[in-house]
Amino acid sequence: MRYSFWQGALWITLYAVLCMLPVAAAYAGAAAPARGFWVEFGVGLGFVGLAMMGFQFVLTGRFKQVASSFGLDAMLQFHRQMGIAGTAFVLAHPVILVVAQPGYVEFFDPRLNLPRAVALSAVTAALVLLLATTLWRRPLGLRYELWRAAHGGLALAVMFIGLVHLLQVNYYVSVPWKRALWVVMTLGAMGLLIHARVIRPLQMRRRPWRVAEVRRERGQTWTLAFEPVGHEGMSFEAGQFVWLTLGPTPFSFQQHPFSISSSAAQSGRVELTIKALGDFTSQIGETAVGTTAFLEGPYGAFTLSGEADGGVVFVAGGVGITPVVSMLRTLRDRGDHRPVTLLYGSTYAESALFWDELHALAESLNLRFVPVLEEPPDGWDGERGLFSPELLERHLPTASEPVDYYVCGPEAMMDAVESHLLRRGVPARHVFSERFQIV
Amino acid sequence: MQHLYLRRTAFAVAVFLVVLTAAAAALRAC
Repeated sequence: MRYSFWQGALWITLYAVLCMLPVAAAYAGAAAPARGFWVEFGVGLGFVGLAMMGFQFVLTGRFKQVASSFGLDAMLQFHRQMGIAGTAFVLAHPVILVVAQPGYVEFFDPRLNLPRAVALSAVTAALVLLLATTLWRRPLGLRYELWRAAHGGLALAVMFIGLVHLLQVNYYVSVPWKRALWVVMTLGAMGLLIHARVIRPLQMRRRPWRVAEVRRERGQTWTLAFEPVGHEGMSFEAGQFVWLTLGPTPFSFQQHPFSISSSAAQSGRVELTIKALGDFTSQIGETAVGTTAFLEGPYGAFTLSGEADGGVVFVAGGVGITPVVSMLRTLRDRGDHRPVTLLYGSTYAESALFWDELHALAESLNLRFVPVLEEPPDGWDGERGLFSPELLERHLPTASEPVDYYVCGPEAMMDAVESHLLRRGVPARHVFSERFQIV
Repeated sequence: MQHLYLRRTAFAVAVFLVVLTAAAAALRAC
């Protein structure tokens, strides 16, 4: 699946238009009398902010049609960015109104209307909490599954109170069709969350997998092999990922994305290579063979194409090698001999994943393997250090044919490599990357 | 690479929405 600029531009334009739709609807037809600019602006921000919040459910809904234009990880990054912006819009709504007309502060006065004051105070607190727990989940020490449960719950509360507030104020939505539009849009958005958290797990329950093998790799990393139970498994493209749930039920808040490391040319079995890093993955090596699992996917646009005549360059760091090794294994199994360069960075040789296999693949593929060690052993005559511009320049192809670049690894490494490729004049459509450090 | 552009795009979309809302409010108020 390729990124398409125009398809992406179309989706973003559609997003902006749909966010403005509530304002257009508010002013359409028999609208209430206009007030001053600042009041109208404050009210407008509330409308647009609530619409942005509604579309948050679409962005996080894992819709393959939309995600194929950007990559699902980019969708989730956009969800994060627009969540921050939407929160600012919604919070600016009461601030601007109260500053423009201090009388509006009565909306928060419990003596005038207790339920209203409580609801509006609660929704403000919920919004702040929603944002703070997402931006600072790790510093706050909040466990992922708790955060995920709270995130969905708070989001539903914000949407629901937002809708009730809008209907109660009843200024721009007094006409039945406008009220119906808001109710349908809000319930639709909330329905997407119900779909993601209830309907999709129900569908997944019919397609269980079992852990067939747990294999220790180098550097606190394990490969888990999964076999389908009672179904034909999944077909995927090399470089894609799945959301993994381990345990007897798919109704779990512990669902995490992992790149598939096995070859896409082999059907049935799917392997994930997982490094023991965070709260969920720290116990991954202790997973028992026979454990039930659920794999949602495959997702991801970090996949090979047959378009670049100049070949492929992979720049991987640490566990970021997993989607790359899936692509290399697939090229081997398909007898594909396109020119490939792999720059693989690891702190130590002992923790470099698939070390022996990568050397073997260099023999069987048209592959130039350049290991880069941060702390090399004595006598190491290969590359050392980090992916500096000088190091990259020593190995990146200089041919005039287009080359596809795939970058996967720690954030700082990806920033550095992507920026260098840009400066080098590589067109953005030939650079692929995947980032999952979102919360 | 799309991430570098994505951050800028998200910021641009947010600014664009503020401008559109302000323009709509200005048209409405006059």
